[in-house]
Parts: sequence; structure tokens; C-alpha cells
Amino acid sequence: LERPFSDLRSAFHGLAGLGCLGARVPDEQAACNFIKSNVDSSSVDSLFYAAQSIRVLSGCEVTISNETREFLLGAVSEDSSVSQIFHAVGALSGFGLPLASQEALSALTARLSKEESVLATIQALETASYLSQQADLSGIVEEIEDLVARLDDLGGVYLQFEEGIETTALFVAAAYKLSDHVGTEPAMKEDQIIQLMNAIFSKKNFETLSEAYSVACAAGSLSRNRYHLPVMIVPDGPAAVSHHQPVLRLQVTDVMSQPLTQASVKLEYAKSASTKATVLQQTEFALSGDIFELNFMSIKPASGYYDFSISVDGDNRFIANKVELKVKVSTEVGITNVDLSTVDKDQSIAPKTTRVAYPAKAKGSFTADSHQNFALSFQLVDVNSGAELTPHQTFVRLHNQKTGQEVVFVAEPDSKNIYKFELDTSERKTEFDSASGTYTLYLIIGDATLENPILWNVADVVIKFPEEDAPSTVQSKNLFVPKPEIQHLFREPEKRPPTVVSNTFTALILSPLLLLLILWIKIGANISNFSFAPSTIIFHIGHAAMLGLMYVYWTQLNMFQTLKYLAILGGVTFLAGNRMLAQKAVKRIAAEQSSRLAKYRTLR
Amino acid sequence: VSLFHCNSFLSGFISAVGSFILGVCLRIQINPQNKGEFQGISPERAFADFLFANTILHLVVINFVG
Repeated sequence: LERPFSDLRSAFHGLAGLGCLGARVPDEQAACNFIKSNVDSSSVDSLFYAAQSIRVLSGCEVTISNETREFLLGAVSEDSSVSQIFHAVGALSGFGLPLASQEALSALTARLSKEESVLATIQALETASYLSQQADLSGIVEEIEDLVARLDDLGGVYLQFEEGIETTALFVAAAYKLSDHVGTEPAMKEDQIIQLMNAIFSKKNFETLSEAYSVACAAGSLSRNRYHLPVMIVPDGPAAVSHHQPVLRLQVTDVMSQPLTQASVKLEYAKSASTKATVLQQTEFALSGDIFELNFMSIKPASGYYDFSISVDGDNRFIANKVELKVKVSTEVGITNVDLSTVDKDQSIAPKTTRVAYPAKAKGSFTADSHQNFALSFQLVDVNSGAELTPHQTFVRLHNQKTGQEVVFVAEPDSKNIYKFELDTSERKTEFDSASGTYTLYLIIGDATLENPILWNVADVVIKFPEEDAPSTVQSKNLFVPKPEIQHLFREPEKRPPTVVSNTFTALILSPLLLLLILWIKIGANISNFSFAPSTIIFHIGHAAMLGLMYVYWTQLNMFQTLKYLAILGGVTFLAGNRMLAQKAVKRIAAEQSSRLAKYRTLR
Repeated sequence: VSLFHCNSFLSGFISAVGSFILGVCLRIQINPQNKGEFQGISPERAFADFLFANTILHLVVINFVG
């Protein structure tokens, strides 16, 4: 809102939003000048924005010529859209010009029956609020009920229009404005209003000025109308009481965070969350300044969580005035009867017990080794009430002074609520990594309902472990050091049979080939038809090369490379072979023809 | 030799069988007594087909032998 206005519409949103909230406009004169310079007499919208803005600014006058007035009056007819009628009526009433309410109303109802959108209906509601009260506005008021039926219920918590928060907020503002104007209560049930409120105020940051304006107007109308006044009850500070702070403080405000000091705030009941027993009923909260207070510790409740149910009365308009709160009662813990002892394993020697008082440290150190166990027992009581407590965290922490190791154990309570802890060195060896030495013993007590969690250095304990395992394993506990790199082990090639065997079998396989060659020579296979023409040679070489390529493929190439070479070689071989075979064919056909000719001749 | 030793055996087997079949086909096609059944195919054409088919067979076999 501090930014300079970029156009009249944003000026309207800013100024009207401030007016709804009841805040003052920072620089009225500048705003007024801006509006005067930007008003456009030919557009109904701009006139409306100007008129509403000057209503918020005091002492700002915009002169309206007669033509403009005629123009506005002419706009109030059945032909213009609802938003135009709305803007025209708003402008006329903003400028203080006379307006024919009945005519406007009839135009509005006629137009509404044609336009069904939610926004149109909302604008009709606001328009009706500008018209005089003599007109029959009940038809418009019924529209409120229709709109309420059109709200979407999201999970029972939020109630909003599907168009979004802006429309919902505008609806709330318009509905209340009209209801105040007409004098009848809007037809919305209490839960619906609560849900509407949840939906409208669920966003903390708004993107557009118009959205901010609509939410501001909704907030203003919810605080100031005559029928419904939602109440918000918020604890002042954390909802916890204790002996230092025995008073539970509540802020009871309306939507605009104005405290409602006329209301009377009453505690209906306070129940313990765990036992469900009612602790307190029907007590009034006292008003001090703007805050309502109740001294809860006066009834001395035990520590823990409580459910409070609070109601706010005093005005018929209050809604959402019953609230449930969870309140925490916390207390202080004290440790008593702390005994440290070294117990011999054989139980032949009586345990030596030392009593230590908090917060002092035990004098002398204790030893725990393979013959002796170290034991600790204590009791936890509530300082104020003397009752025994069982907090959530009771830890015994042993910290090695040299290596920085820490081991934490839990002390468990027995049936009489006395906490015991025993350290057996041989059992717990692995946790300590067998690092002998002096350990400091700490007692840690904590809980959500404790005011004073305790970290207490009780004693020093010297622990000796039976075998001195390599203390170098201590550094493996440091988790954040990079781990040793893992080398990738390729899969070991498998064990193959010795070369002799495979060689033998290779020879065995190749021997039939040898046999073939020998037999061929024996039967006298002839290669006499071999003509030494170039194409023949090329063909044979190409063919041999292809076979060689097969071998190479087997040993190193992959399919794609092979196919590439094969294509080249195959092409060459094919051409040469074609040539060669064609020549052969020619020769053969010539031979056949000549032999046929010879046969023919002999037959004749 | 890769892990799948069965592949090698199978490829050898297929090579033998394929070569046998192609040889038989060539012999049938070249035989003059069968000329009636192979009208459009001259012996040279038969031989060329034989070589081509052999090339493809060996390509497959070598691929498979791993």
C-alpha cells in the first residue's frame, strides 16, 4: 500500500482496503490528486473506483459533470452486465448523486436471472447495499442463501468457493454489508462461518492487491457487523504453567485482533490428559489489561498435560466461542538418595557405598574391573509436591577423557520407582571397545514437563578391561572419515583346462580337413578349368579375404565392424564372381551347343 | 571363450549341419539329370547361391562361437 498507485483500480483496492480495516491512509492529499487526475469520465468502472476511493479519503472532492451523471444513470439498465450496474450504482452513491433505487433494483434482478456466476451474485449483493432501504431487497437477500449452498466444504475445516479465497472473502464482506443495511441476519450457520473464516485467513501473503483488499474487507466486516462476531482465543506465550509462572494467560480477540474486554471468559472444565479426571470446573478468568488470567497452580495439579475447555460469553453475537486447549503443567525435579557403589562379583566383600548430593561431585574415584561391578542408584522426586517422578529420559553417560568416546546407558526404575544402573565390565566390553581408562560419569535427566533438565557430573570411574584388545580400533568409531576406497575387482576369468588339452582337441578337429585334402588329391580332383582371367583371381582373392575376415571377427572385431568390412569385400567378390561365372557359363553353353551340334550332325 | 561354453558347441554343430545342407543343395542343383526341376537356375547361379549362403552361415556361426 505504500507503493505509488499504478492505476485507478489498484488505488481503489488500496484505499478501500485501508478503509475496511479502519486504518488511516498515509498520504491523503497525494492519493486524492492521483485519483482526480486519473478518473476517466467515460468508463463506468473508473468512475466507480474513483467514487469509492474518495469516500475513504476525507475532504476530497471530484466534480462530476452532468454528462457523466447522465451516463451513469443510463448505465443502470437491463442491458449492461451486473458488474456494470454495480459499478454505476456504487459510483452514484459514492458521489452522493441521486439514484432511482427501484429502477436499479429491477434492472439488477432482471440481469441476475441471466448471469449465474458467483461473482455476479456477489456484486449484486453489494449493489443492493447501496440502494435505499425502502426498496424491496428481500429477493437479493435470498441470494445469500443460494450462495452459501454453493460453497465447497474442504475436509470439514475450510469452506470456500471454488474460485478461490478472493471470491469467498468478497462474499463475506458483501453479505454482511447487505445484512447490516437491511436489518436481517444473514442465513449462515455458526460452523459455516467458522469454516469460512478458516479458509479466508489461511493465507498470510497475498499476491495481488485485489486479493489483499478482499481479505481486509472480510476481516473488517467480520469485526463490525451486527450479527456475528467470531472470537479467537489464543494463549499468550506458551501454554504452560509452572511454579515460576502459575498463571495461564489468554488473549481473547476478534478477527482484527482487538481485545474483547467486555466478554467474560470462563473455564468449563480442565481434565488431565492421561487420567481423564476433571481437575477444575466452572472458574472465571480474571481480566488484567488486555489479557485474561487464571491461576492454575493454586489447585496444585500434578505435572503433565491437561485439556482445557474454555467458553467466552457476554455478547449474543459471539460465535466460535468454545475452544479446547492443551496446557502443560511442568515442574522441577530433584534427585535424592544417590548411591554409588562397587559391588564385588563374587559378593564376598560387602559393597562400598558412597552417597553423593547433587550438585556436588563424588570424592575419590571408583574402580570397575573384572572383579568388581560398578552400581548407581537414585530416586527422582518432584521438588514441589514430593511425589516420585518417572521422566522420559534417564541416561547414564560415560565419557572417556582420553579418546573422547562416549557410551550412554539407560537407568531403569524398579517397582518402587528407584532407578538402578549397573556396569559389568566384561558384559559391556564391546560397547567400550575395551578401552581402559578414566571415565567421567554423567547423569542426564530430561522430560517435556520438567523445568530443569539435569546434566550432572557425578563421579570418575576407572574402568579396566580384562584383555587389552588393540586400542587402535578406537578410530573406527569416527563415522565421518572417508572409508577406504573399494577397488573394483573384475570378474576373474575362469579356470581353463591346461593348454595341452585344448591343443590336442584343436588338432583332432583339424585332422578331417587334412584328410579331405589328401583324399581330394587321391581321387584326382582337377582344377584344370581354372582360367587365369583377372576377374577369377579377384574373385578368389576376395573370397579368401572374406574367410580371413571371419577369422578376424572371431578374434577381435564386433558385428558392426565385421559387417562393414564384409560389405566392402562382399561387393568386390560378388562383382568379380559374377564376371567369372558368367564367363564360365558362356563357355559351358558354347561347349554344349557344339556337342549338340556334333550329335545332330552324326544323327543326320 | 566366454562363459557360455554351450554356445561354442552349438555353433560348431550348426556349422557342420548347415554346410552339409548347402553342399547337398549345390550338388542337386548342378546335377544335369535334375535340369528339369531347376529351369531358371544355371549351375553358375547355383554355385553363387552356395557361396552367398555359406558366407551368411559362417557369419552367424562365428558370432555365436564367442
